Amino acid sequence: MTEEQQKRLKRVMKDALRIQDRFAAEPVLARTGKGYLKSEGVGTLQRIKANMKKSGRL
Amino acid sequence: MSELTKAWLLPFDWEFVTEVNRGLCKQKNALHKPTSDGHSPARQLWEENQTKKLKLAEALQICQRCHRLAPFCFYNGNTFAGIARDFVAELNSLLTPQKAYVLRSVAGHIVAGTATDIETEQLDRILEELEK
Repeated sequence: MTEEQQKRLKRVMKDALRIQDRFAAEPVLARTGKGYLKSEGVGTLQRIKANMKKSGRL
Repeated sequence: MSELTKAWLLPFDWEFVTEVNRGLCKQKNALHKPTSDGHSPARQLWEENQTKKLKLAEALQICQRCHRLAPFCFYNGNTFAGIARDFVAELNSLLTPQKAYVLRSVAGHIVAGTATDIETEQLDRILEELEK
């Protein structure tokens, strides 16, 4: 793997681990045809809005 | 050709996909192993499309189809959602932070197979704006 790919892998892994608990470990979509994803809530969007307000962009 | 049509999957060869899944399984002490029925067709689908110029929505559909084929025993969902969320982030500089968040979130939901009609419309609207 190139250095660029290693960097990308690290980035993807970091995000995929952050969302890992929202996904079922088992292949639910393959077995049932229905996806499963636990709700993230509104915390992240609220943080983005707060930062935009702070910087005067909202 | 619009910058929304490109080889979105090009940086992610199958070895990369496998490494992501290996890492996710390791974190949770889950078995990292290819499935007997899903691995081969998912790999074929991925490799057929990896170098193709695709619309963003098409690339997301490939990720969802591979998730559905379940090439690995565990954590297929966030393996492909993580990859999709990474390539849609290439558009962040063209979007407000809120829209970038929505795009990343909707991309994850499409790959997870949980996107609602409203979310699909949100994606269409963002892509239309970007194409203007």
